Amino acid sequence: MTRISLYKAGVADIAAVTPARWKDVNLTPVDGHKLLLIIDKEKPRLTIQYIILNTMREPFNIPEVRQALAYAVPYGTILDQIFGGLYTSLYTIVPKGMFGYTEYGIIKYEFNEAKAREIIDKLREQGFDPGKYSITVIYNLGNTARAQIAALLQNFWTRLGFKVFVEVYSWPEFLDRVDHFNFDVAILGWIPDYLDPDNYLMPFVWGGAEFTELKYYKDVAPADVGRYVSKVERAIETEKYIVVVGPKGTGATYTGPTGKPIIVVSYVLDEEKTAKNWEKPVAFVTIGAAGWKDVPVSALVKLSRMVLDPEVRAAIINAAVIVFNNEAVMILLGQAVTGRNYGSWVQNMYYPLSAFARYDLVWETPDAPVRDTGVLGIKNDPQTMVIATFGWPDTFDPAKSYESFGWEIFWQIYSKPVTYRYEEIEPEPELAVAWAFSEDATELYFVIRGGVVAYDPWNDKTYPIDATDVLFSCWRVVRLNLPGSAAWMFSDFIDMDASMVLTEEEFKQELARGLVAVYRGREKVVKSLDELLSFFGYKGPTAGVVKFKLHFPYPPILHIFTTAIASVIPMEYALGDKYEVALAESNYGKNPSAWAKYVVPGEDDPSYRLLKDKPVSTGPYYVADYREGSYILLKLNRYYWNATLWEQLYGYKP
Amino acid sequence: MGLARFLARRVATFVPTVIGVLLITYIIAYSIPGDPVRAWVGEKLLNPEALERVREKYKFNAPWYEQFAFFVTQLMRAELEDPIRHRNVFDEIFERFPITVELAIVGFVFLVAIGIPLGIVAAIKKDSVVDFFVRIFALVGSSLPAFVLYYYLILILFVYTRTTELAGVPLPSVQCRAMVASLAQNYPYIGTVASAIGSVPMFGAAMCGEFGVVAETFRRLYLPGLALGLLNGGFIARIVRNSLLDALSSEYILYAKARGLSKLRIWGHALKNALVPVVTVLGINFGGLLSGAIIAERAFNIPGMGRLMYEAITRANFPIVIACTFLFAIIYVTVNLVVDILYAVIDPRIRY
Repeated sequence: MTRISLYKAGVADIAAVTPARWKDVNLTPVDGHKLLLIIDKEKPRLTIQYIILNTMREPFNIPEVRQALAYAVPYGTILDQIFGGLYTSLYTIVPKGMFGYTEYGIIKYEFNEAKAREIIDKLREQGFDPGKYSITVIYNLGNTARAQIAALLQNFWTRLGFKVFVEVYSWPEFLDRVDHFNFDVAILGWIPDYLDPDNYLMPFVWGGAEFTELKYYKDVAPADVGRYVSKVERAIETEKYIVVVGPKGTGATYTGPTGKPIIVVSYVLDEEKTAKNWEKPVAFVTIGAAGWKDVPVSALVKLSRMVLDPEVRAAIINAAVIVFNNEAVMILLGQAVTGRNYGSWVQNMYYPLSAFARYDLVWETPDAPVRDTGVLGIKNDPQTMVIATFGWPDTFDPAKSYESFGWEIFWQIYSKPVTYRYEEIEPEPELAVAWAFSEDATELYFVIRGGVVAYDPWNDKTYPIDATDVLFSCWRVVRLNLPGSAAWMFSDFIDMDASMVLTEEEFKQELARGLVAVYRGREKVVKSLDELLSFFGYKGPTAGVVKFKLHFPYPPILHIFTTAIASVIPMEYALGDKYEVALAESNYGKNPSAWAKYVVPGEDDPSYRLLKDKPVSTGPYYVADYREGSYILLKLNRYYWNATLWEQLYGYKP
Repeated sequence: MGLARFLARRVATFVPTVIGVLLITYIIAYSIPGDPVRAWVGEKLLNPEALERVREKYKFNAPWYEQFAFFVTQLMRAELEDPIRHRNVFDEIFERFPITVELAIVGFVFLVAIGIPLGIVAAIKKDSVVDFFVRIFALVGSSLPAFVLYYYLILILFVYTRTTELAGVPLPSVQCRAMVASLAQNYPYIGTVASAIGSVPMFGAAMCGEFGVVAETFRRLYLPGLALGLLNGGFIARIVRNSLLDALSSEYILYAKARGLSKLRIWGHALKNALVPVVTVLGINFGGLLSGAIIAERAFNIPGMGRLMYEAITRANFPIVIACTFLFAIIYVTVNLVVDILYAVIDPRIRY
């Protein structure tokens, strides 16, 4: 209510408005301008809404039942009425716009009650009695959209013969139930952490199976499949390949589809680890959220994380997605589309696909409304942008934060090694001006931009940023391992203690053996720093090199360095008077594990205590002031490494 | 029994009362299904190792009474920490409480200004059109969902007429706040009291002569204050009306009339006697306002105790809930004590 009032009164330039209230706001006149709601259905975003069916419980362990339920969902009503047109149809767990998206072999579950009944009737002939089953649909208290969806499900699924109940739980209990599979059906949404299908496959499709060996063989003749696997468990036709999965061994006879090149995936199951994951399953973590224990598809999911060949990776991902769809493991309600909601005087707002708006280029027309804000005597004039939103960051420390409010702030106040230009999906240089991989892709090198400083507004002080700060920032996330943090995004893929800072001389020696630079779809083996920098078109100063040691080659690793956890903070600010000694003991970043003496795991760490309340800035804005639950004041950072951009574009300096 | 003994006895009951309230609150919170630690650490993926650390820290692996004892001990040592923001719970409370005090004062002023005059008028004009409207007003105030009233007040007085603000809370200048805070250090006794009073922004601003901030505070808070006054004023008016009518029908008023006292003096006598139940209700109302008006603070975007409590409840934030309950319990027992003392001031027949 308050947000909308502030927005309609012209006090706020942008407001977080729920879809159900957009109609109350759209086209409201404000001083000759209008509040705009622009929905661009052609521009999908990567947030999805879905229904989890607990496949560890009856009757959701029966694929046909799941399919029938999927056909008995009134998608049109949900998308148009409940989501207010902000979502579009979604049929695959990897949404449109993401690498690995496919429509090939996908069943489009539209609302079709007759078909749902037909499937149930067929099951009845085999002795299945829907009347025996009580299905309870759960959602979290206060989410009106989910309440409405639950009511629709109750209505339509009852008509199939099931007894359907709806229960609402407080957020803690809802989470607890979902985490521990203490539910039948749950309604949820998902925002990816980074732009890769792995961030959908692992939380949803992976069946908790672990493997001691995973291999793939490309272009295998049908007759040769038996050379790699002892049994064909899955043969999935994708757009370009047929993907065959089975346990490692020999003797399998292939009788599946032909006519396309075959990729054979062989696996050796790690029974001990798999049993451990299944013993006390935790949704999203030790198994996908639906508890679907499909070993061959799990093999595809796990393998897809390591395959560097984009064509093979796409085929493997497609195969997993197709099976997941065909067996209706989850009911996918919709995929978000781009919805822009701001006053018509606001210009150059953009929304990177990783979900958060960025304000670095925003400006307002000179005739923008002028209003008192009520905060610190500040007027909302054309030089000020006011966002009326809800919620509050749990912390200002990027090492802890794993929620939208915090990440949106970090997008404005920190620079990461790489970022996205506007709404594109390929990583671009930010604090790393160039990067390269070792030939086996288990080492990632970032050449760090020179001349960057971090601004500490609390003491009006600056700190120079170099490669050590970049490594320290990332290493610290893993070391702190704060509860609820996204530390896994580093620890799952990077051995931080084996990572190190290199001088440019040391890097040149590594370059001499040839490193692979990949940028904007181009790939080149480079052997000198000049060659690497010119590949990226960079001519300015540099500030050292960081080498990250990966646990295994992980194709989307660069995307992780675009996220908030990769926000670069100055090591000197974090460690204070221990900075010099910590730096020396680590041999200036050669041995980061030496920093363990100065950074303790958990929330009692002094650097966490400092940064959770007093963030610094390496980005376009800094936090100038805040009062919990009331306001956060961001100001343009005059020390921002790219501050000249504003002068070039708009002719002003902060 | 003298006032001193009465006070001593009442203060002695404070401790078991407050502990009893804390225990009941804790047991209710503890009994709610779900994993509070999971709610504290965030809504995305579980990190079992880090989660276990939090469980250990907050004694979730111990029996409930040990955990309760831990919370209470930490609270008494002023070491209890908000598990989400990792701040001392009292830091959070003392940041929010002064704002709630401001709102409570403004709301209370409206409550009294609306409730008491209406009640008196209704009693004087018993069974008239005015009385009828006061009774309707009381009924509507009691039965109208608060958010409906808030919505229309915001629409009219903010969106259309801009007579108030809905963001931020006016604060005295940094220098003023520093000066107020320094009072406690410079003048041990009176300075501590002055500093505590000055921590309420509008009082602090007034102490520094920053009357612009006081005016801004009233502009910011008059709308929620008015809303709270409108919602509860009708109830107060009814209490005043009925109590005054009771008093007017008593024998001493008949005697006063027989003696030929002026109407004004008769009304004065009756009103003083009628105020005893009114003070009780006003006291409870003020205590309620000091405990944070949850819906009003949310609707009018005021970062006070009500919102803190609401946010804590939605995230099963036990430490904040317990600390807030502790404060609320102290407020209520104190307000009740003050009300009891006021009885004696209003009604000389009451002795302790």
